[in-house]
Amino acid sequence: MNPEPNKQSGAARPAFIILTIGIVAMLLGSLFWLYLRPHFMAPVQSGISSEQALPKEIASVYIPKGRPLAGIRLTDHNNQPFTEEHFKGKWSFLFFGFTHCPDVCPTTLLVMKAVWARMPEADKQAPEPQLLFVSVDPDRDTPQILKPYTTFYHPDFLGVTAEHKFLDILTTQVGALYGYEDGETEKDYTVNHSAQVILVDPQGHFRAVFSPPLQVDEIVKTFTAIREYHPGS
Amino acid sequence: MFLKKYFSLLWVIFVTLFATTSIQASEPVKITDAWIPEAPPVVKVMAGYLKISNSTANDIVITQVKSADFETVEIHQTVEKDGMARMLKQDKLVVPADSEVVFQRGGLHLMLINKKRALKKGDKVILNFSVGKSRYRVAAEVKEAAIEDHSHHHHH
Ligand SMILES: [Cu+2]
Repeated sequence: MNPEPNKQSGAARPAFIILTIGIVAMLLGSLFWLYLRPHFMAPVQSGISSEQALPKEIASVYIPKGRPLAGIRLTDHNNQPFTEEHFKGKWSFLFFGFTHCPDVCPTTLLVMKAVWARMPEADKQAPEPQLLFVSVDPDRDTPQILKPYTTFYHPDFLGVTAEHKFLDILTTQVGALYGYEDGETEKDYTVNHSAQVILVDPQGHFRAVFSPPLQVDEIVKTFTAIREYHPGS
Repeated sequence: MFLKKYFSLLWVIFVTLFATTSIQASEPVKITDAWIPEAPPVVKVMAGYLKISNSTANDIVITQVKSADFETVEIHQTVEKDGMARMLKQDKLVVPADSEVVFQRGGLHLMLINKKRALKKGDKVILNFSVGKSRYRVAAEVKEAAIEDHSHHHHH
């Protein structure tokens, strides 16, 4: 009978302590949320701000970490190999499409032609950027067709393509999509494709995405800002 | 003799004027600003842009478009779906009463499939639209395609 009260008081003490700890913790917790949290959060915010320090005109398109492109095995419209080495030393704009595309591809190529007309604005000293029109329709877009097609829009634009397994190595690394859709006849199929323009930096890293609707002025200004900001460009 | 000639000439002018205005006034459906962006000569598929206005009190339906210069003409709508640009074929196109539909880049366009002759800047392509029982014949000009840079930049 005796141990009972003892046991009770023994049980009551830890319960009291736990309750006290709980209340104090709750008080401290609310204190933290109310007053201290902003102070604790401040360093975290400034940690983010190293990325937030991106100039605002490039923040929505620039990929701070970048992504090195590897295993690139394409063929250009002169039947020459195009590998990741061909990205080195200059900025590259990539657009995915197909020559049987009457609306989106010509429009994008004309936008890029207008961008090219203003390129000297970006930097007169830096090497000229290159534009790659990547055909995701290698069965129809042979180099013989790609060359007159691409150079029609600008003599410096370069058409490239590859068999599917190599195309996919590139598209998966830059997040581009494409797919086929039947037409009236077997040869009149159409190709669905991403309409973004991809920017690869002179180190060969996937560095920015321009999403439609593509505006000439916006691309020129954003690219100029990226080129100023990007280390080693 | 001279007077008779004079009056008949006047009559011809009057009739012509009247006929022209009456056609215009009673033209419920107008297809205007039709043009085709010049494309690389290797290209077999081209686009056509235009404006269809329907000033009648009824919806009209474009059921078919044909051209002697192309194997097939289709009406397509460019849409973005699943992160991809796609073209959706429209079997018919409704132009609602008292409104207009504009075919333009990145949206509705005529898909001119398999050209039968070389087409360069300045060439005219005749397009035949079927609207119910009516036929509309429209000349679309092949024009140099350029995207306007709206910035009006001041660097020279
Ligand atoms: Cu189309």
